[in-house]
Amino acid sequence: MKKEEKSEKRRSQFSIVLERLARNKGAMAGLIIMILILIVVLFGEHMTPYSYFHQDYMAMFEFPSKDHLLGTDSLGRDILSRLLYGARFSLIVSVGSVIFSAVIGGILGAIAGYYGGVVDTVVMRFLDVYQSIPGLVLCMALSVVFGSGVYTTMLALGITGIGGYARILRAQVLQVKGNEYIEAARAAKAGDLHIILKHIIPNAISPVIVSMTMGVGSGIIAIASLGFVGLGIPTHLPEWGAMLSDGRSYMGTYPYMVLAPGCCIILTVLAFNLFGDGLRDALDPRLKD
Amino acid sequence: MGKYIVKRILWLIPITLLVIVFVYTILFFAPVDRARAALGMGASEQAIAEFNEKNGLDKGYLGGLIIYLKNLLHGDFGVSYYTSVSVSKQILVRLPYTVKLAILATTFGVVIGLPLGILAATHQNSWLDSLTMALTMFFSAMPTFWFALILVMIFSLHFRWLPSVGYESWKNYVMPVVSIGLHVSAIIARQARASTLEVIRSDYVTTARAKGQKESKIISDHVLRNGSIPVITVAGGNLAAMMGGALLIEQIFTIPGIGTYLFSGIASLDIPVVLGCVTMLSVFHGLIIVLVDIIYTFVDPRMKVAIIQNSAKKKILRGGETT
Amino acid sequence: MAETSFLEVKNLVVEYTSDKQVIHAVNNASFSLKRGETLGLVGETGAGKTTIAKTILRILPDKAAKIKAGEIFFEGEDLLSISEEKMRTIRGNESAMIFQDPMTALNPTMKVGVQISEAILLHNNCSKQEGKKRAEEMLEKVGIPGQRFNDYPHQFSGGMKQRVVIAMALACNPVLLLSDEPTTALDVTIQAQVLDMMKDLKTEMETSMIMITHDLGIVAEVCDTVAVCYAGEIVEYGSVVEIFDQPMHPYTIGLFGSLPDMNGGRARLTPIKGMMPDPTNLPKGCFFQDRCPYASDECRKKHPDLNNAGGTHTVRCIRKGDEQNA
Repeated sequence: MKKEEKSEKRRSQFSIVLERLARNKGAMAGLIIMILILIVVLFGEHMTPYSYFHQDYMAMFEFPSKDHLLGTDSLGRDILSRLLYGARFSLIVSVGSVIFSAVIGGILGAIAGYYGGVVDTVVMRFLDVYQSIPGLVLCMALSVVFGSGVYTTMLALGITGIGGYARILRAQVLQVKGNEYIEAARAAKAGDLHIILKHIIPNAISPVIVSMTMGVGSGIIAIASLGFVGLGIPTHLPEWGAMLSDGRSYMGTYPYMVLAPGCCIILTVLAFNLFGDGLRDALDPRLKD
Repeated sequence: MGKYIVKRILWLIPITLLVIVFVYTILFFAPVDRARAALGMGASEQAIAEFNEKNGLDKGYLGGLIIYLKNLLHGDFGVSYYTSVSVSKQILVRLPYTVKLAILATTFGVVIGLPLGILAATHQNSWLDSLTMALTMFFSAMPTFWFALILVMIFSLHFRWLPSVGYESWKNYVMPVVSIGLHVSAIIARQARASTLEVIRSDYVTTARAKGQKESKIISDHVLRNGSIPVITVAGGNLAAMMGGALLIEQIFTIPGIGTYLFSGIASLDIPVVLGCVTMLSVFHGLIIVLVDIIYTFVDPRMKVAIIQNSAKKKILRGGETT
Repeated sequence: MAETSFLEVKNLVVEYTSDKQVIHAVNNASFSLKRGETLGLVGETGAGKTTIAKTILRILPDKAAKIKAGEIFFEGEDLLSISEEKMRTIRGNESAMIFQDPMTALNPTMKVGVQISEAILLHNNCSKQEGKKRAEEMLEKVGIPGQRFNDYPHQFSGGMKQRVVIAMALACNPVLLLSDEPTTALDVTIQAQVLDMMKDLKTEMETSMIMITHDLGIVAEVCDTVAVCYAGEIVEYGSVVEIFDQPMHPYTIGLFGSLPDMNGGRARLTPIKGMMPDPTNLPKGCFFQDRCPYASDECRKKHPDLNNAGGTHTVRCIRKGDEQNA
């Protein structure tokens, strides 16, 4: 029903979604945390008393105290400073990779769904391949091949995510394509690109946005997983997963070294998942009431 | 039906071949000198040439691929570049640990997650529902490897109840299974809740109510079966992914499964090891998907028709409309 | 009147809440039904017909819907005040419902026979075998071979599914049958078959019926009395003869005007202009004012009562019995 409406109605549809979203407490909590994290990413280095690489050999393995709110690590580095600085790696890499996957995967899926035939078959087989390799395995292999680094990790993660978006967009396009207004546009001699951009994408976009929001969350976990085994972001940088791996050796005596980075990961992932969940409910309120 | 299953299994062959080509391509073009990595920096030119010849690395991209596929035809997965140990032997030795872990964790996830999700749906908006949703939200946001570390911290290091390394006793499996299983149960609970809510709103449940059926019987006779159908997909997909995806957990608890092997292969770009594991994973994945389809036909009689026609399947899974 | 009507709905008000908006689905609806008779509940989609039927069985979604006021007397008992357990012994037993869409009304993963015997086993003290036997008899009664007990819904066509739904509703010999557009989802050729079968079974089992429909042809064929529903209230009520011979409410007249006339030779259909008022925001005064060709200032100020128009005929219009008789 929402599909046949004109742009005026679409705008009101948009405000209805916003209204529903604003009423969802979980989504709003997620949004607030997301904003806080964004502030940390932008201004993190100016918010802390120490720099992330400052080593203080007089203050190694210090328990949380007034000087070091979350204690220090094996090299006497302030854990809080490192965590705040590290937020940028998780976030920027994850967001970047999700955008990469969504754009490349989306284009692939849209083309496959729209043109069908041989193109569709080729893309579908490619997706079958994607599906039969566990994501983490593919991501690790790519990240070893590309080497460690911020952009290479983004690329490795981004390539891993292509399959999911291609699938979503293909399904959406197939569904939308069957509608009469597409036939009408075709009958009016509208070009393929015009139909895809003006009619199909706007209608298929909402599951993609939900999936992207959730994707940032799972991306952060993937980055931490890579960091935990020494892949991905270079190990001298305070990436959360790498910090977990550092702390692991000392966790019997200094549990905060493992607890703190873990809590950062959970909080961030939770924020994106809560917001994504709320977004999905707002876009498709069937399951509410 | 039998014909259909055979067809589906045969279909796995081209897919697996594509997987091999895909992964081989990624690994082959990695900028790394395998011979020097294996033999050390000071190795002689002759030793390097021998190494390359032995492992087919001197044949180039296509030559190496053809040799690998030819050997695969004879059931030979090759040997590791660095240890010279047969890949198929390693996989066979390691598979039982991984299978055990995967099956236990998935079972744990279904046993905890399915009833919880259904309860949450039937008590929608109650405190039970809110609590379940909050917990599942939390557990699905938590990295399993971090949770595993926390468990180790509590139960091995603090209380000393459970061993943190090893694989001999059942005690070794408690923490690995729980750390993965809780995550799986969170995902399954959310799926079960969503699909149950959809079923509860369906017309046939109203019909049952109009017959004078008790609410508890409506849940057990009408809702349970229909609501758990999408859960099968989630559980199956998870089982498949876990055959190789329990990588970090196997590492943490030093379980000598496929995960640790695959990881060592990836880290050193050991092509035969990675290809062997990935081939096995992809075949397992395919077989599990076929198995899931077979289970469907028992749970949902519509699926027998739909699967064989292979068309209406998705539609049925999504809504339950059978037009 | 009180001693002969065995179902009496009095001043029923039902509201839904959705996204914090209150939808006024049923507004002060009253009507009665005599034993053995068929009442046609007529009106367009969204007029509250299905809600009325579901309220009688008390199967409204309990979170979203609220019965604000009213009484429903069924064989002298107020259904809205008895316990849920008591209500369960009535549902599917003394009073049953046939749903609109046979495609979704049957559980796709349960054998149709089991779905029929479910009601039989619930309300009769009988063994499983006996339940099965009676379910097979019911299948035969609606023209389906008894061996198909073990088939699943997807193995039946739409018309056959609706026969199964009917068999299910009639399984316990109900005294009151609520039929919610039982033929709308079916092909035209099948519609007549199913309708004929229902008529026969109803006579055979001496069941009273409320027939919800928007099809006046069906009303003429099977109903004794008619209640015309508009925006959640009854705007006109009377016997089929009274309503068909002398429709009084402008809405009812409009309904007849939008009906193709096979023998009259009227060239064009005259549809009723406009749409039903927004159920979250009903107008003051008569609900039909915006679409009514005769609307006056008074119609916008005061909500009309049901006025007697002779015999059993009542109409909710201030113009009752005036010039529209012509």
